[in-house]
Amino acid sequence: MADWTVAGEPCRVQAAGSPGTTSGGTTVTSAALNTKGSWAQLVAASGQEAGGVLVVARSTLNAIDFLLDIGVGAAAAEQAIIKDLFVGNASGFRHSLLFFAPINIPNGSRISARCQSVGGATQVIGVTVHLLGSRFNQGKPLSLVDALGTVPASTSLSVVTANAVASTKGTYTQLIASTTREYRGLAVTTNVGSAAARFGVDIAVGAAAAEQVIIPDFHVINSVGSARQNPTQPVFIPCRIPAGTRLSARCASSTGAATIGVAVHGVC
Amino acid sequence: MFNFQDGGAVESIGWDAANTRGTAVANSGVANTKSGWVQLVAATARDARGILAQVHANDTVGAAAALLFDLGIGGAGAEQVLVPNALDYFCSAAGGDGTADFFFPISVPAGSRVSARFQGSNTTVNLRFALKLLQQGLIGMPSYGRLKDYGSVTGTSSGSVVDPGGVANTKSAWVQLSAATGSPIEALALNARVRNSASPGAQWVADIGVGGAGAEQIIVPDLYIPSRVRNSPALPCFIPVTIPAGTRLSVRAQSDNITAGQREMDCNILGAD
Repeated sequence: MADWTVAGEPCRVQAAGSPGTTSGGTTVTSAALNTKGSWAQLVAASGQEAGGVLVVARSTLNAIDFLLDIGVGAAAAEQAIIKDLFVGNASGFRHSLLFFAPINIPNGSRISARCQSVGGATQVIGVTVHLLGSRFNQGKPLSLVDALGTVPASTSLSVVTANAVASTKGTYTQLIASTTREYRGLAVTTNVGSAAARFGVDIAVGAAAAEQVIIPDFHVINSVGSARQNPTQPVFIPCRIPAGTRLSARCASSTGAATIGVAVHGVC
Repeated sequence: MFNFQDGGAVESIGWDAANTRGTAVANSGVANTKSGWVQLVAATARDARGILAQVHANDTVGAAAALLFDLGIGGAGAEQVLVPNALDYFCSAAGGDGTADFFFPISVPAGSRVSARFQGSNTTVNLRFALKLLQQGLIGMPSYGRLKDYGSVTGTSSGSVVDPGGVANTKSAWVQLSAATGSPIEALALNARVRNSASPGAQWVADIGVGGAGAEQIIVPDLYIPSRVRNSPALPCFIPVTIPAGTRLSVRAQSDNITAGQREMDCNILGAD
């Protein structure tokens, strides 16, 4: 591919987990119910240092939700660097997740993926990771994406219930009592319920009954109960979250009392 | 401690809290013609370095429509396009409305009046806009001052059509989006949509190339294009690439669906500098 070095260093893009013969990426298979499967290698050695990665995951037509990890490291010694990405597909359409993580991955890294599902063993998703050139991340290098508020035991997200009064924010649901690391930004992930409703989600910090909203009115819609729609391109919103912070979420719905699954991913 | 110097504030504009939705922008009443501008906020509260736009088709179930929307700043009657021809799509086949999230790494000064408009391939679909202005933009990514679109087809409210062809999982011929880019590009986003929702199980992968016809060089390989049934901006992620002004831009694709009438996608590119 071309190197355009007109200004600054080249910024190339490498696809790890190529589309291959199916246009669908590398197949990653789940293990037993709500249990992570084996790591599947996406690339044996990356060809460039990456300053950001774009994870693309797509489910089959089966109506099954997944949690996906991206890892680095040699076979049998993989370390998850992006944890529990939610790939929801209860609608039964081929659902896709496009998740950008502003983290650095050194040149020559082995990159792999693993997943779990609510469908038990042998459920599959296709995964590709696009490595963006090191010029992308111009600030302090970041290296890890943590999941806050996911529920691995059920391959789901924390349940947040709207106020019974339509378009009125409900009470807060705690996503995590105390963060273990300092984060530089948060990305909101949701999983709409079965009710057809519009949602506005707030993410907040602070102790119970003293929460302060840091991300207001994140908008999610489920217009057809049988065909859920979840945001499929979470973006990291810069906000410095110190270690030891309590994170919580609340929401309003257009119908009142509707529920939604919520989690955030923190990058550090 | 919280480091407030980081300035990570998020400003919500266009949010209709009383109805849990965004601000309505009605279609122009004429197909493939931009609507009037609708104000989302009279004056932003602080400088922003990025926009998260949450756009959804209105609550009615209309016919499928290709959509192009603009975001603008400036006083009423003097709006200037800040985000041009973002490609969106509404598919009625599965019913209902849906949100599509777009991120634009562009600066918006404090005190700006922000507005939106759109055009559609029919006159039954309306849009709603709820924007989040990010004081710090996207982590690690600079904020830009200008966005230009390449490959938009305003006559049909769509992008340039790329046909993966009749051979499954094999890259097509290149389709030119721009003979010569009008300004340098420091980052770009490919917005693509599948033109027919009858095959939600199919998959697409696209390359972005530069260079003369017959001599294209891949600068972004194998971007996955999801097949979705509602508003479907495929890849709002801006990818940093350095492309001089005057460069020819093109796209090619492959798919596992080879049925004519289903396999085609259309796309445009937003270039930032």
